[in-house]
Amino acid sequence: MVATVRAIGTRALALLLAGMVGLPLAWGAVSALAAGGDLHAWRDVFTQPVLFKSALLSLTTGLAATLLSLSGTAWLLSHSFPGPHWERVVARLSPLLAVPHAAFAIGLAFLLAPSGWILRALSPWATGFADPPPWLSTQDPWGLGLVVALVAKEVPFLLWTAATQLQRSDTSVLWTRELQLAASLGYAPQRAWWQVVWPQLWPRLWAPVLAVLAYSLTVVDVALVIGPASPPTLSVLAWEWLLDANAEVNARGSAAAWLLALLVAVCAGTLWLVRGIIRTGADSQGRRGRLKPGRSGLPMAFAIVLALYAAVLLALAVGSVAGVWPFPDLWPHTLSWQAWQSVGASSGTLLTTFALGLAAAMSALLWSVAWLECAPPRWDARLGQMLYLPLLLPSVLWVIGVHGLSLAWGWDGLPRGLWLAHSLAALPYVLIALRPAYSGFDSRYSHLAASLGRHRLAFLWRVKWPLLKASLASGAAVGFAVSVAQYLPTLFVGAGRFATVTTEAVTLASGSQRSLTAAYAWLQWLLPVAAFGLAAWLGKPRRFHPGKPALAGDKS
Amino acid sequence: MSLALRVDRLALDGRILISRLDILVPAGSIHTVMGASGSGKSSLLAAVCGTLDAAFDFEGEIQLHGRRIDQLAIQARHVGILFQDDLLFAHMSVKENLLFAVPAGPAAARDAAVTQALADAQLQGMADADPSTLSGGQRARVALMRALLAQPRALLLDEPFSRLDSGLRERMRTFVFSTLQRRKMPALLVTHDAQDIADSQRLTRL
Amino acid sequence: MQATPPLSRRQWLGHAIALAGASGASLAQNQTPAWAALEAKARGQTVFFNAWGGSDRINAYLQWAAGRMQERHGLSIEHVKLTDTVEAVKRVRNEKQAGKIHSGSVDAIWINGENFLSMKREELLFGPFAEKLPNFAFVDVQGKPTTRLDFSEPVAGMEAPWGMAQFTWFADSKRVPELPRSMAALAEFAKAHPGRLSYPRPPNFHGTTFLKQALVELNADRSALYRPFATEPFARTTEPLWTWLDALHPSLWRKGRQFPQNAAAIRQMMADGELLIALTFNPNEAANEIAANRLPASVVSWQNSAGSIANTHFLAIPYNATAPEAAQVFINFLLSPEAQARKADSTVWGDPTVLALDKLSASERARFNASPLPGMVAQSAPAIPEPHGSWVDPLEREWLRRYGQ
Repeated sequence: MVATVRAIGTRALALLLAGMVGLPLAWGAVSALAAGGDLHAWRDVFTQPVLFKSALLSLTTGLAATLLSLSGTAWLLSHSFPGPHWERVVARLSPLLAVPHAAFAIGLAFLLAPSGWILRALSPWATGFADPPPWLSTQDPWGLGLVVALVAKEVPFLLWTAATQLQRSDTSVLWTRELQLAASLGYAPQRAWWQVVWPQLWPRLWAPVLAVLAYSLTVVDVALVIGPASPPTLSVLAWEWLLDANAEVNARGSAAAWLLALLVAVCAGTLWLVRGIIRTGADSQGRRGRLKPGRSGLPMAFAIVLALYAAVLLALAVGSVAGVWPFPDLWPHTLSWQAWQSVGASSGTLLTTFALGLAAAMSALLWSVAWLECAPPRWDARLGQMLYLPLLLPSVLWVIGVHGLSLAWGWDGLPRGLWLAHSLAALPYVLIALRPAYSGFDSRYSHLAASLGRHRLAFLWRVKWPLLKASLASGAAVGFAVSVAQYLPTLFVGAGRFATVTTEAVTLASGSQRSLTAAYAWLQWLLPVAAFGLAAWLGKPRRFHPGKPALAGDKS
Repeated sequence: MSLALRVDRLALDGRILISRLDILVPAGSIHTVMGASGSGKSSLLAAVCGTLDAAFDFEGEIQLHGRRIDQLAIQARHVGILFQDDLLFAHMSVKENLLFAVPAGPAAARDAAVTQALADAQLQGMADADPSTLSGGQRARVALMRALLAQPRALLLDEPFSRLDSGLRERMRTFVFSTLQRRKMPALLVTHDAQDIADSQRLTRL
Repeated sequence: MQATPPLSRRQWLGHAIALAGASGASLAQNQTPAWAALEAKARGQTVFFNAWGGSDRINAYLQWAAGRMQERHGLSIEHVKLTDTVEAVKRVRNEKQAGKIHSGSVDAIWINGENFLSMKREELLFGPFAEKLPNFAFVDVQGKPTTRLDFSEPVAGMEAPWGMAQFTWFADSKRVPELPRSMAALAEFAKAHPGRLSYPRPPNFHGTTFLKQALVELNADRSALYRPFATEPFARTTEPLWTWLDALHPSLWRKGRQFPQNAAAIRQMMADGELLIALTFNPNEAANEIAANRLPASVVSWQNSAGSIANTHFLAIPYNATAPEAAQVFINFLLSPEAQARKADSTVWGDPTVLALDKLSASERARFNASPLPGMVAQSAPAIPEPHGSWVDPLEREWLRRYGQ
């Protein structure tokens, strides 16, 4: 009897949770759908001569970035898991994840530009240039710069999601043992990885890879900074049309955003169909692969990624204090602290960003934990897919939906509207962070606690959550980072009333003052880094002190 | 083809687990190592197989068929290992699991070896089955066949029967020991159960 | 003393009234009961001022103005930083469509040109209010006719003038010893230095103004430009422009296949040395950048000697502003000699004033003491008024059609 009441209570809670998030999501999706329903606008879109090239650019850069990041991640994993290299790679991931996409793109653009740091370092002694060369190194028409920026950002993200899977309590030991077994059967480590662990890991990475695909196809801010300009990618085009003064052009923008969503769906579908190929089965001839002599230190590829990030951050740091800095000087002629002074003066913005991020991360975390605890597996399987909607819809489209929702509920321009938009955006990422840990959690612990007569809540509070605290902390940190990086939702739903660090950064970027843009980019990075640092500290496993020495005569 | 094992010192974080151990396992015989939990039995097997964690400190010598193997990589030692958990790869069918172990060569010969192994283990119809649908005993037999298909020169068994119920355990023991003796392979068995002792003449207690 | 043409009786009357009004206003400034009542009502209100936020120094100036408003009138100013004015226009438009007549989210907006035109036509503005402001009396409506005529459209008091703008070039004199002083000279310069010149991509307003400047210089008869758009005059007038651009583009940066996003990007590229000449609407921008240590002191500014397009930028109030009284008090303050002088100070912002210095008292005139700073325009060029606002959109669309890919 008690058990049934508890079961009904849990179901009711799950239903409430589903409604809390399902309703805004559905409303947002319908709003977005309605915005794209204008047939005239669709016809208008297809008559644009620039459409085909833009769409092609989006497709090629998005697919290239996704496939390259995926293979790069898998390759890095094959060379580092499960040894000490892997621990080192995982430990260095969070500062990389914390760098916002746009900030990274700005720094990378500064490195690669014709007047950028790399050419300054090489001129005029190596290249003979006294003036910046007319090279197409940034905003190149083929989107190569865009692909580089995206891959550099997505590889750490995929590594992080792979880490959440590889650190699950049920799989970490199992897969390590299986790799050892394969080694005893004569397989070289990389080949053993590709044939034994990767096929089991890959299906579990489906959601993050889909997120990466959707992002790469629909990214706006990175494409603006470093992507092709004439014509731009379809996402940038849709964004420009959506922000235009003319209402007809806006409708065209909504239709273009829906076209983008369709492209994402088609690519995802294709990826689903070929996922068997990516799994790479066994080699029918049983070749074992060659043993290479042992490496020391981090895998070379990861070291390159780290070096790139360091270069980008250094470029941003130097740029932020640069005054007069003509080509081909390596260091600025004059230094100026004005940019940082103005960062310091924007304490109100910092406070808003921090409060919003905290609120969004906490709500997303609380909701995810409650959902993962209460929801029956069938519900999770069905509704769970819908929760990834903010991730999979192009951000320009999703923001139309959220804006329509906030207007309808009258939350437009109010703090709670902004909180809702940010929480919905952070939710999928928090789930991606928490799900593996929750699925891998040994269910026998709860049975054990129940058999000891402990109430379920006591079990959660004293056993389960402390055991999962690393995942919970890093989930919260990710939610915070996602909230800090939100631009379009803050702009639309906030109705211009709220300035966050990101909206300030983007607005100041339109003034193209390198020092200011760089200083704000650093600020955008420092906030999530602090969050991740805090999460790592909170999630540290408990240190046990060795017990008292045994008494004499006790020989057990 | 014999396995000679001499352990001068096996320690973890300064705590010595095993010292001054000398074992010679002739071809076709099974040497049992018994000890309480924590006595280092699994670590001993790991040292022979090559999967010993870096935290351990091993001094000694392992020779297989006159050749020293303790300095070689895992892949080069040709020593098979059977764990408590059968560790059948969840994403491969029974046949693919077995095929994985067969040494490189033409596809037809490999298939034939797998078919023979299935017959030996009396699992003929199970080639395309999902490992998770097999019973405990069937999985144990597949795991053993997989280890043997790699044509190792020695086999290590880490409490291989502890997960099985007593009736099954008896049958598995008989099957494993007879198969090993037929193949004239030296084997090192680690267990805490006295009933698993293969040969009372070849027994070490830690 | 130069001979002035005889004035007609009407003009005489108009001047007399204006003079009386001016002196009356300067005496009665802030004294009219209506204005005092407005100020009293405005106390405690908050003005959401939507203005482009891409410039640090403008933001700092507005912070200063907000501080003064808090001290003197007890009202708070929130600077809503926009990336593009059109964001605020859309917001007001959406609110009108949603039927929101009161409590709009925008109280004041920094605006001009086609944005003003569309807001005025769609009846999105509050007013007329501008000419009723006490400080409007100081505005130089004679010497600066664009304070009453925005892109050839009569303002009719629906927006208040804030600052003057004139199309100006600036470059490092060390890299550009010979300054091109006309569009033809610019084309020659481009050929001599291929890949080192560019202009912002229309529909960015600096880019469109570049096109308009060329249009004005390539056409001897400019009368069509000042009448509302019509297809045939447009085709006839713009024909030399497209020919000129077709010849110019291959010498431009990235062979004219790609254009920088805005004038600020061009300024940054000029500072780096990638481009040689930058453009702006603020004649004192280079001086401001030099004073802030972001450009070397060798940078000079100049305008095309035959004349350079000039306009005024304005402040407007949407029809449904929540705090129209406070907005008017704020705008009035921004028109005051104190605020205009500080705005014109090249170390603060450098935006030229809309006020007539001869209408001010001696002490207030002294505030505008502009000692020439390095980088300022040496010789101001005659101001050419902006073509009619209805020409902007067709011009941009045609450019996009021809060169947008």
